[in-house]
Amino acid sequence: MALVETKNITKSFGSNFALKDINLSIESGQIVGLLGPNGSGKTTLIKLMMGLLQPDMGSIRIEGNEPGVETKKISAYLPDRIVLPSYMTTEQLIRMNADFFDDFNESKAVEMAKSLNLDFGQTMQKMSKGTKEKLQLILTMSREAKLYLLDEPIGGVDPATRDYILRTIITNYSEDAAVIISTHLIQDVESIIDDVIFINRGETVLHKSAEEIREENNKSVDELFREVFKC
Amino acid sequence: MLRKLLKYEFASVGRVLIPLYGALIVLSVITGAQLKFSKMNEGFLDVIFVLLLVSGSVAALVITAMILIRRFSSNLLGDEGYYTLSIPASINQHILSKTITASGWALIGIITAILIGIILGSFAGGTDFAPLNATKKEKGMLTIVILEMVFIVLTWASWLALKIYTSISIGHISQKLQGLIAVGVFLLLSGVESFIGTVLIRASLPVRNITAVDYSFAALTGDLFLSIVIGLIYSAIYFFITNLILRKKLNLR
Repeated sequence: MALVETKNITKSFGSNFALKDINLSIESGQIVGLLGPNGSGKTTLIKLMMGLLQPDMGSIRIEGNEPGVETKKISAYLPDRIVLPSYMTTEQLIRMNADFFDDFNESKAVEMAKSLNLDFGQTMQKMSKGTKEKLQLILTMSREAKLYLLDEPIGGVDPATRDYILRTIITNYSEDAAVIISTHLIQDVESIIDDVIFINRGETVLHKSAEEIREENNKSVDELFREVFKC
Repeated sequence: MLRKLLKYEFASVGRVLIPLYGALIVLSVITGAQLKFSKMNEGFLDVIFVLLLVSGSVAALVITAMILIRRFSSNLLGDEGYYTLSIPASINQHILSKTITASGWALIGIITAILIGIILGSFAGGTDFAPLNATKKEKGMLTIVILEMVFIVLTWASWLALKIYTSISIGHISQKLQGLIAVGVFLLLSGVESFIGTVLIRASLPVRNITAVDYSFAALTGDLFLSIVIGLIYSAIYFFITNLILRKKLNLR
């Protein structure tokens, strides 16, 4: 059984289609790049997987369950914005995650926060944007989840932070988990992704392994992306 | 999971309201002392302290309401909702945690107001507290009435909180003017409640002799109990609607 399975997912906002008839099957043990230009539907698809949006049609199954309490137990989600309460400190946020998520590895989070020299007593509102993003990533990747949904984890951060984030992702997910990374910065993630999903105007344009793309097209994923999404 | 949600809900609201209510109690002690020990030429100071206490109490009421509403609108339907709704808790548990917190803090607010009254009263020389001299039977009756009043505060606060949550949730379905729609829905629901209340009171008039002079203890407790039941019924209706919208129409954009 696939870890994530979507069948004929359709979602619109008013008269605008965000996703049209999306059919996907994602297995465990791989890093999947959900790639597409801005506004292509990547975030909408991830939100649907987390149950933050409801589809107009179709179904999503994560380990056989519809998005809900059971799927949230095994899904670690990194949204594309700062979502943690601004009055809480690093220490309080780590403790809160340990309270809410059974698979949260508190000592791993503390270790990662220390390695980044985060101030445990500092509140979110006093942190820089980059530090907030790092803390959110630490909290997400400190879970021993079966599915990681990372929405634009490297958008808007400096190259050094970008490297740190990608290193964190690679070194912190287990072999039987799947990681879905949504981004339009293909070059940066190309080296770590196993599977590629191109999405454009709410439709899947391509779903292949990164290796297949390189062999069949004699091009890197980034080069193919630029060709497919040429303006 | 509900226990954990409640822990963070109470802490989040308490970090603002505990100092606020604490400050009001301290201010009431200072005001009471000023009024008791002020000299003839300090009338101006007396007025200042009383005004401070009154405006502080009104501000506390407004801040309490705003914080409790924001806990629902921003913690569930705003950016924080992305985190809150990724926690493995059901929508039922999320709504319950907000409602219990709102009614709990409403009760704490009323207890604070009573405490302020007692403090001011004790400074004014009101040391003769009548219930202490009551008979055992009277004390028993008073206990029942107080308990019922506590339940009324809890159920009516839940009713009001859930009506606000329903209004915000309905507004959230819309793409635009969410706040305005929420206010409109709240006014509409209040109008419907008012209409139902009027109809029920008119229907009950022929069977109730409300002009009776001997309004008995049984009638009083019966009316208080009825108020609790009404609060519970409306709470259940609004809980159901809010839950349905957040389960079926949740749209975090």
